[in-house]
Amino acid sequence: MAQKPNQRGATRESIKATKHHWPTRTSFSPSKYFRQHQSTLTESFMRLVNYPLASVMTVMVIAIALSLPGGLYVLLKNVQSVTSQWEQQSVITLYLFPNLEDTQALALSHRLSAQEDIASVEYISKEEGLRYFERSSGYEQILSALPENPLPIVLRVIPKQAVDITTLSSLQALRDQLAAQKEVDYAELDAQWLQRLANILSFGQRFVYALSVLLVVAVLLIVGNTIRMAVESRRDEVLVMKLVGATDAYIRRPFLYMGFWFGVLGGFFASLCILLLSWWVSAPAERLIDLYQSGFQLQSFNADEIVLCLTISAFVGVFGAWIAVNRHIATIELQ
Amino acid sequence: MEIEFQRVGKKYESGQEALSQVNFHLQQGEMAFLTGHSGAGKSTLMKLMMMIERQTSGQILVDGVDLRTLSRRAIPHHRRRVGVVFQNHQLLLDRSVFHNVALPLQVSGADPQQIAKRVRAALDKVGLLDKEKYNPMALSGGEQQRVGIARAVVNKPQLLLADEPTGNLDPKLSAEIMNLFQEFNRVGVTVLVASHDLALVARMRHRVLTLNQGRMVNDGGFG
Repeated sequence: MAQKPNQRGATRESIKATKHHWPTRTSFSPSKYFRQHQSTLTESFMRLVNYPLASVMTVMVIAIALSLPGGLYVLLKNVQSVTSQWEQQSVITLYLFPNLEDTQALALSHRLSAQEDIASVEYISKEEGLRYFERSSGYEQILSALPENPLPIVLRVIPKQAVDITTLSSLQALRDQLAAQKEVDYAELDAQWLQRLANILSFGQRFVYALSVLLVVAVLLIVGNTIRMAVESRRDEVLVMKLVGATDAYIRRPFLYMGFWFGVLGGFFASLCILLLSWWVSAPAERLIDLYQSGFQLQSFNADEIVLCLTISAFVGVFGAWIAVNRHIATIELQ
Repeated sequence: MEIEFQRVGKKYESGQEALSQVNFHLQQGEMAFLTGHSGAGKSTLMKLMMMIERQTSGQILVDGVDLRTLSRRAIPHHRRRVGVVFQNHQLLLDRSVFHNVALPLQVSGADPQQIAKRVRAALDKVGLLDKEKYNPMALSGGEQQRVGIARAVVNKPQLLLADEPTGNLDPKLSAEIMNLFQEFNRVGVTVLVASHDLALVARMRHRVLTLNQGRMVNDGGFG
């Protein structure tokens, strides 16, 4: 529409004046509003049904795009659940300064055993350490050739918590606290492999997040493009509607609902894909679990997650449609 | 609906002046013809009244309201009060006659029973009640034009605009269409018909506005 910018914005007074002079301007009525929305909802669905091939293809592309991050999410969830059951007794080994007296070391040992989060402290004197070392290393001759015992006093601290993926960080904090004692030269938490696992899992988590964002953007583009084509194919209809007094919101509505349906149906089929996939892998996975006799239960998408998936996909559908429609409807003007 | 043009001008960005210093006053319930050679500005004048385009000078008062004061959001509500009929009738071919005529009512949110009642009344008035289920494509040119008219009047507009409504119809059908407009006028609708069919216009014996190169050169008489 050829409008001069300075004529576009009307003041509030002028709109009021319009209302005053023109009582035909429709007042808001909730029942009418819902009726319109409900009929648009069904009409937009029927429109998808009327073009089954195109609709099914779009919905399936969306479903595939969404089932990828969804599937990885389920995989990650299961790995996390398995690894959280892997625990071992945790040990923090404290190597004390070599010049420390036995009495000081014993005092530290008593102080630590009194600490709440520590179950017990094992005292390994220099001599015990040497004997242990001789037994296990086979370096007896070299050790006996040394003028004095080079080993420090060692305290083996057993925390009350066993170490697993979830307690790792609190045990690391305990290790740091023990390392800060003035008698302690070096403190070591024996959980290296768990630490690596935790790192791999957080890497996996970020990977899934990044992939989800990318694929959600892809869905946005797919919906946007489909809606853009839908608007273009209904150009005549949009023009006639504008001519007979349709508001922009009214013209926009069926396309937004179309985006909603694409999103919801895409999310639905993505959930279905994930459920089928988890069912398909469940038999071999359970056999594997039986081998390790763990009490682990394979997890799939639960109801909450399905609802979340549908909500996100519906939102993405509407949002994608909204962008496309706003950009496009403005270009369709009566001439 | 009462329409008043006061020194209205429309200049396109290309520099072409479609209308200049156009003055006229159409009373509530009046019927008039707008004539002139093609390119004289008839369509532009209609578009200004529909707010499809905006004038670049002067003012247009509709029932005393200056159209320039209406915001973009108010345009749809303005259009609901105006019925339009075009030469290329702009019917949608993906739906029946009934649904084409129902469009203005759906757009303004009328309830379905009301819509059915008024669509049938409008179709009855143009003599097409028995064709409501047809696709517009299955109708003749004259019938299609009458569907367009039914659509224009279905929400009881206070102003009816017709741009060359008889453009490609034979004289007999043209006269029928004109008679329809006259009937709507008789029940109080303000009617403005743009037509270059001077003979037909003269026979109708209504006020005639003549445009020539964007200027109103004649207002009154019977053509």
